[in-house]
Amino acid sequence: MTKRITALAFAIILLISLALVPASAAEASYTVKLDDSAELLSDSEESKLLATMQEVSDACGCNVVFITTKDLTGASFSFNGTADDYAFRYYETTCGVNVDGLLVYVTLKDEGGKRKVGVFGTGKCEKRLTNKESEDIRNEAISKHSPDTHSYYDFLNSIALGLKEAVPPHLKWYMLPIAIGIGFFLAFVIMNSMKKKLITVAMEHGAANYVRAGSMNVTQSRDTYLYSTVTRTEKPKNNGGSSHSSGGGSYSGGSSNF
Amino acid sequence: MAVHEYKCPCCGGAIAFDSATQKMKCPFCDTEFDVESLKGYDADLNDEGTDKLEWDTKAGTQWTEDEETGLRTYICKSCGGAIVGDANTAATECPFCGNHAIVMEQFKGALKPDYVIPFKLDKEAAKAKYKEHLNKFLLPKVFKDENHIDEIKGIYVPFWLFDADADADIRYRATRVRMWSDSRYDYTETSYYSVYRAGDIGFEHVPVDGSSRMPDDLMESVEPYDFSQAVDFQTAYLSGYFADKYDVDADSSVNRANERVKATTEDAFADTVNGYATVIPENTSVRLSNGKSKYAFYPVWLMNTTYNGEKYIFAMNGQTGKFVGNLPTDKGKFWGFTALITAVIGALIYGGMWLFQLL
Repeated sequence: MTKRITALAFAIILLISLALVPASAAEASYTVKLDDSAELLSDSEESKLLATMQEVSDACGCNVVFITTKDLTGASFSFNGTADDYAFRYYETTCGVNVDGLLVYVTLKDEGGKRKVGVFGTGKCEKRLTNKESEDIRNEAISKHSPDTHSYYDFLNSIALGLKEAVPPHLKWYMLPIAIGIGFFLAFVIMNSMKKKLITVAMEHGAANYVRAGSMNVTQSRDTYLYSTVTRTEKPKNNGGSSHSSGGGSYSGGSSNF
Repeated sequence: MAVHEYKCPCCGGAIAFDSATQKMKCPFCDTEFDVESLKGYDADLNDEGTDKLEWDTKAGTQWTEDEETGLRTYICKSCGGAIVGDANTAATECPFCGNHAIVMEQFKGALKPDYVIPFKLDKEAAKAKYKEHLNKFLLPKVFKDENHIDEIKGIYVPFWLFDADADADIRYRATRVRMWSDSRYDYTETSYYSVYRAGDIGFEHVPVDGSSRMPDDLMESVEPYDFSQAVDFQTAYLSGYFADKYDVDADSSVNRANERVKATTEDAFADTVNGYATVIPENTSVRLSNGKSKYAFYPVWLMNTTYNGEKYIFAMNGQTGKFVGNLPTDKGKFWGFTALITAVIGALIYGGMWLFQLL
């Protein structure tokens, strides 16, 4: 009996886990666009980067848009003058507002005249790509594949590979033991409540059943204030969950000069 | 020693109290008699002398002192058989002829009960409640299917009933909590109060088990009894049932009564302290006045069984039908279903984590 139940339990875990493993997104149709207006890549590099971007799109099940621009002039859409907003409006014009996607831009001259790279997620990718992950991907590319010493292809390819690793739906290895631990705790509480039904013999706490009806009489009642204490706790700072908004869509991630 | 039983005036058979009709009934000719009408008869019986039946026999050996102090032998008036019981058996059944016998000797020298609550439920009701009691998910199947009750006994259990007025003054330490936030901090203000309550509360008929043979927790678990159905004690009510006389006196039972009265007094006054996050009693003073006790017989159906070498005792309130008794746990089923629920909940949580990632 116990063995059968245990076997059934593990079968259920296995089946549900397998059923919930994300299916390949290959069947869905997503936009994969590389706009190299700054002409930083050769044709062959563009082809190789597009192939990597396609892999990212397949793995993440979302649009992938990479933009390079010399500066923020010549836009066919309105934006608030910042490089980030330029990229957001570009993406929304291409794919739509809050449509699942990853957005990477490199501008050689941002609103402050400096070179800048931005890595963002929107739609379902907004929660999958945290600000910290975006920052790590940018830092990795800047420190190890800087276009000053490497090519822009290496730089952008490093970002694409970073996105391919960070953004696809995945759970940390310890999530399964945590889920089973919570399940065991709840199961133990449920089963113990059933077990308690088998125990019906106990000493009475008091004599509440034998209070003479209407006999209780409160003759004195005083509530005296003594003192107060106030404790102050600093609110946790939000690092990784904040969103950028272009006035249209909502994005996670960030940008940095390099 | 003398035993006492009621003979049917019609056929001479031994009559017994019938819980269904609340009358004395002859099991042989079905004639019924009012309990009240037997009062005079009962008084006459009490005045009767005891038989003196002496035998000059040398057979057997003497009981040791230890054995003798706990045993009593009674002679059945119907068949002359010797009924061996213990020092506290006040009503019993003759194992030879089945006559219901009341051992009058046992009441001599001890207090006569003031009240008795007659049995309202019979043996069949106790059996039905027992079956219902076994309808538990984690009970071993073999216990439910193959278990047989060793014995079912209707017993009048001696109880001391305590009445008292309690004057109480209680001081509590109470707190109120207020929380607010600004842009940087969360604030919690805890205000402390000294709360004082004084007053009085009355208790009546707080029962304390007067028999050391009955487990105290079992007897308290079948409570409460409805004292409004108690009647003046008459030995006629004992007929057909077993009965114990008390062997724990009222003075020895006072401590338990005090514990129960004090606990309920504290609870009752704590209920008047409202509007606080926490309320902790710091000082409690309870003074009892007008305390008095009564002696009563309360009806209990008692049954026991043995499973895996362990004895299980069950009790049913003979007035209300409340049934209690601890049951064994099927450990295999317990851990098996724990594993199953763990798997289902764990899989749902894990699946939820995936869904959160996917959506």
